[in-house]
Amino acid sequence: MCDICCDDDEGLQSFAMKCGHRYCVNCYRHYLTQKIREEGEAARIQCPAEGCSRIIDARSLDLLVTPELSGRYQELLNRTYVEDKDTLKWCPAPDCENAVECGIKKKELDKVVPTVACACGYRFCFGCILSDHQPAPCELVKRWLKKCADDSETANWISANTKECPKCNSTIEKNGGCNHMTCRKCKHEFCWMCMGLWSEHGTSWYNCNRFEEKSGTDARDAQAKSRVSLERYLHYYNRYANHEQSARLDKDMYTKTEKKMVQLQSASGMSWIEVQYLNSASQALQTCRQTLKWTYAFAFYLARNNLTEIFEDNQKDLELAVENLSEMFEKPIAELADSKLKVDIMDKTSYCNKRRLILLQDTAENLANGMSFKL
Amino acid sequence: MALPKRIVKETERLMSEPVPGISAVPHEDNLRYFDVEIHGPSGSPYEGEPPDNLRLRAANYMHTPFRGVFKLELFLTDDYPMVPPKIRFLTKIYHPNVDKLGRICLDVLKNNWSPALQIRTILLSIQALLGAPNPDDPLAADVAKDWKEDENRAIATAKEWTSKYAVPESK
Amino acid sequence: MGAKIPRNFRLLEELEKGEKGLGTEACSFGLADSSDMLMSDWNGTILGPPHSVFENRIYGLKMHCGEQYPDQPPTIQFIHKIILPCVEEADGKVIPSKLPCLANWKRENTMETILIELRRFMASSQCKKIPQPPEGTTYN
Repeated sequence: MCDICCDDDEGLQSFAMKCGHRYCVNCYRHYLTQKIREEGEAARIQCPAEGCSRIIDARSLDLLVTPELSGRYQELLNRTYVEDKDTLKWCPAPDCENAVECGIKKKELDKVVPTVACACGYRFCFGCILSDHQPAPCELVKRWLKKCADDSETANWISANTKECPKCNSTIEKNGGCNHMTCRKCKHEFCWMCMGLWSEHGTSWYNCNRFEEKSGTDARDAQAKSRVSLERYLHYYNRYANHEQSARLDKDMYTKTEKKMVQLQSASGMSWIEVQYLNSASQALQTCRQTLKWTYAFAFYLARNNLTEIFEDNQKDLELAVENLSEMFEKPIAELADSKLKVDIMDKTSYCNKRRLILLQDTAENLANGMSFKL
Repeated sequence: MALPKRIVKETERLMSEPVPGISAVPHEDNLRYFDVEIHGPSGSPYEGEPPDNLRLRAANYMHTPFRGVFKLELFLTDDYPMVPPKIRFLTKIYHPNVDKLGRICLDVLKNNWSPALQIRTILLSIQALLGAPNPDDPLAADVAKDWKEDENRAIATAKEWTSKYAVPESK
Repeated sequence: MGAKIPRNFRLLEELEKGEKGLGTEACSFGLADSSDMLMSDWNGTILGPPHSVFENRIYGLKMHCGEQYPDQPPTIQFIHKIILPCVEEADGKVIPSKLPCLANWKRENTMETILIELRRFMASSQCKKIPQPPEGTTYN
């Protein structure tokens, strides 16, 4: 008799693994269907007996279930296989079902940016699964993204554009001519100009001439510092955001390119092969902008030394080349048909790609040798 | 709808060889739905009060069992026994692994369920849970907290609730 | 047809669905008293459908599941004042005969079914322009 369904028909087909717990084939099939279909299990399905930890192997499974369920099982098995293995990752591109292999170790991530390209064409970082962020290492990317998302930057802005009461730190905006400020919250009286105590001022109410007073310098220093750090951040952020925005337009650009290629074919009589240079140019623009974008996050954290200058030169060269190519690429169809422009675009495309590689090689080398960052 | 053989057999056995301190009776109009009674294990805070106490309060309690009796309900879904039975307390109980609505946190009712387990084994596990509360795997977070902070006080509350709510119906 | 799920387990299922937020965002519901072992009284909310007079308003409802639930439908009552053909003007009670899912009640219907249908009703062309009492006013 089967202990699960209590069936005791003659000729009841039953099955048991080496552990000897025998159940009818029907119950086994139900059990496996429940585990695979409803609970999404595969590699860890145990014998149905209570407390028996014997795992059901693939061969037993194939004997028991329909090919369809077998397929689902295999799929789940693959998924766990990839998820359990450090050297395998699923390609994060939408609808891509590939897994990519890479032997990078976690502790190497501060020295290497393990960028991989899936067979589907999508390039991503094996370390953090974000889209390609060379030359910046993962940790730096994480910090940068957090910084940009954080409200702390808003707070920075407020402190740069308003002043805080030197006593209770409430935010204060000046809305009259007199420098005599009285904090609405704590009633602290101070001078707007020098941030010092009002009682030290005597009667010079409209012209603060006590700029060097100690109580004022400290408060002013703190505010100035915050302003400088904000300006520095905004410098890098604006450039980063600009390239990101351009990267976001990549898709539009690609479709535009395709259209352009068709128009060009009919306008100039060029063949499909002959207009592929526009596609290459578009690809180069997208890839280079992606890299440029991350060079600004990278530069934000880079400690100043003689290597910084080389890096900034590389960055400048690439940026100039990209903007040049971009300009040519946007030219109207009539001009694009000119064979001289075609040669120029092809030259610029390969130049951009070359500059990008040089920049990446240089930074990768320095990264491996231990670059210093201000985190 | 025909009742699967497995359920018929389990029900028959529950009737013919009842487990001491546990009863499970199917509803007449729904044979997958059981009324369950579990007596609190002796020595546990769910044991209930001794008969002398009861006699003082009301004479007609004389012949009733003097332990705490907890009512539960149990339902076997279509997928039973591939999935565990659904079960919950109907009697209020102060226990770290039972929540305010009577839902039970017990491994064999979740990931450690095996189709080879039965209604009787599950009810025995629940009875054992009454004897050995596990505040480290709580369902009722507030009760578990009390249990960890002051076990004696928590046990006193559990006893109090038992004598207040887990009383057998007077008949 | 499979096993007939008893009232309490059916209500627990609905509660878990509500707790996990598996339902649609525009309607939500939960137990009025989280320690009520009978699970009779429930609170529901409906977010007023867009492009209607109800837009951006939040309507609270009381739902009562009797002993015969889900063989019998629950009773539904609006907390916030609303003018709808299927709602009593005096006290906000939903008139079962005027809401199809209550009039033709099926065991498979849930409280969520009702809330969604009420919301759809509010968005219908016959209701979406009916002038409404001020936002936030309630029946006493």
